[in-house]
Amino acid sequence: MGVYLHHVSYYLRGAIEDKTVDAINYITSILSPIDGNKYYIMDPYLNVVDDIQYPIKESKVENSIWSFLIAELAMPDTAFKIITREPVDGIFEKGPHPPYSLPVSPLINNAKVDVCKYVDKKYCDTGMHDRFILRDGNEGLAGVHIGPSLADIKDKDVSITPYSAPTVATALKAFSDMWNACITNKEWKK
Amino acid sequence: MEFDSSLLSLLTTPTSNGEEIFFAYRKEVRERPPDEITWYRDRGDKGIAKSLWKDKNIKQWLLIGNDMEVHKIWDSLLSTKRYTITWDDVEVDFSLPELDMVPETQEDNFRKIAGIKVINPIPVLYRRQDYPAQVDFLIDEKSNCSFIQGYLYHPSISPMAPAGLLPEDSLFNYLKDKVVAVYQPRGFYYDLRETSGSEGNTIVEGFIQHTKVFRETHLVEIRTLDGAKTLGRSSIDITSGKWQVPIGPKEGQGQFLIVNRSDEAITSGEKYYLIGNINITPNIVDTVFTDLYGRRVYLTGEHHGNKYEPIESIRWDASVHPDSNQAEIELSDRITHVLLSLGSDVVINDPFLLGDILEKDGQVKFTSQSQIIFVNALMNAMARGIIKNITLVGYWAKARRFVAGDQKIFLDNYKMLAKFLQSIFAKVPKAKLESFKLVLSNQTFHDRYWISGGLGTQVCYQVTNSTNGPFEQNELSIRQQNELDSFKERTKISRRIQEGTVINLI
Repeated sequence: MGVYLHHVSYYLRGAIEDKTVDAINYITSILSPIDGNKYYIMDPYLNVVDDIQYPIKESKVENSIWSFLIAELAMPDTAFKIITREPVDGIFEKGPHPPYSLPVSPLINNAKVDVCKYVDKKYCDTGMHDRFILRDGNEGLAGVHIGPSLADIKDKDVSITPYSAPTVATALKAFSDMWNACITNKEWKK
Repeated sequence: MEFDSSLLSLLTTPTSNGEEIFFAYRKEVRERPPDEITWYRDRGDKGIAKSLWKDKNIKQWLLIGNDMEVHKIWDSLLSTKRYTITWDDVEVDFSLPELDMVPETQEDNFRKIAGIKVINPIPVLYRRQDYPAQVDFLIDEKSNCSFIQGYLYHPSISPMAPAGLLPEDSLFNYLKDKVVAVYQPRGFYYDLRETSGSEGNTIVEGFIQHTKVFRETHLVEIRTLDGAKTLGRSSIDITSGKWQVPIGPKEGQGQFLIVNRSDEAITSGEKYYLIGNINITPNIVDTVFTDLYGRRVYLTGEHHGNKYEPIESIRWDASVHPDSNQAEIELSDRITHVLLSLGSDVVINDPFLLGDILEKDGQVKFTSQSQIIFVNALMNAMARGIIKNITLVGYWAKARRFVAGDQKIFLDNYKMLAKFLQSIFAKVPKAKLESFKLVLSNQTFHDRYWISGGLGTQVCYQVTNSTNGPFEQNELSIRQQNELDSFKERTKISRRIQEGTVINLI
């Protein structure tokens, strides 16, 4: 199950951006966006400022795979929670404590996007490594594992694997624990 | 009898300490002055100003007095940036920001003859350093200024007095240029032209609008443009104000001078330049298109064949308009302009296409106000006879989320829309479409771009909202893309069209 997107085949075909579209098409086919879904995204290399906030602000959603994907998933009443290891200081009107909310935009159906920054080695002595997107909604749980990060998809091979239902439940538990730790410990700043 | 009155109009918004002037206009007029400075009733008298635009707190204060007294107020206002006036127990403090006088430009001087006072002096302008933020809705929207000036009517906005005090569009142009104080010295109206006399010579003839005394006591003199040679003189007809000077060969340009009869002194004068070869073609109107807002476009009129230059960007914000109807008109007009600048082949690339369209009793039924505004804009553009081919590129998997029926019903209703548009312009061959296509892309996409599909103009606009969304979302931004982005987007869109499913709607 899943898809493996070979960089070389797109390179030879001459339309690199097709890989982005194929990845998005596959992910949305698994997560089937409908109204009211909640999405949980964990990716240590996801830069929410450069890859989500700015493309949306500049109304160039397709410029980044992440803003493109968020826009594809965002139906009415959709909410996203994102955990990343990348800097979050560039978020507009960033609140004093996590989670930090990205600006609301009609380009993503006014979806709520909340972000927490995880600091490695601070929580249960584990490093953050996995990359996944989980969905919880009226159609139940679903999820995909992404390897490696989507961040620079244009330059590398990418595999996307759907999770089984029990795996999604386990991953969601891990995500929630980490999310709560981020909030409780306030970015582990003294 | 002296006719040396000046008007002073102040447009203000309230502050915690009084009234901040965002536009002051002093104009010398030809009227007998009152004995003392007089504030007009309900425009300042007893401290009661005229509220021009209640929601935006804009007021007008207007006074008249003799030139010298108004000059004193003006000078004091510009030098101290304050002016206080008291009526019994009412005191009003006016304030102005720091201003710099705008130097005269060379362009302003083209009429001026060295050493001679011009007949119609150019206004003296004073500019502030930053934009008056409290009236940004006037700087953003030309129409709002026209409502205040009285050149356009709006039921919620009272016009300035007296009517025609400021030339059309001047308030908008001044504010946009940060000019907030203007002094217009006195002049008088005149016109002149060259005609052929019965003996084959050329006659310069014209009219002066002035008092009887002035006409009695002054002459007109015409000189060559460099002033080296006097071509002729004429008295001014006391009743009609007309005058005639035979000048010999045709000149097309020269000096027009006013001479005092008693001492032969030149009191004022200007250089003039006449434009030749003006052709007037009669415009025969046989069909009129009336749009959703009652505006009329003459279908065989002068619009046909015009070129509409691409624009850098357009931003529409519902909140700056006085009401929702005006906001709709402005949005529709902006979209029309953008569509026209795309030339004959318009490609609308939007995953949601134009949104869902329904059918009721065999007629098109639109599903959002934005959709109606867009179609009105499109019809206005089509009425100009420029658009020949329209292609809508969308992605069914996304569009269907907002569609009531299945794909067949959706496409049938789009065909009905195409027929509706064609039927409106059925009798006007120039406005008829040659093609109207819908392309369903086989790949997802998200961004909206409107591009010119023709070989000529290569324009690409990036649009923030879907066509069926801006009015409901209260804003729309349309930006022209730079050459590289434009090339990238056009390549992508071309591929979507080539690889997608094409449906001919007409």
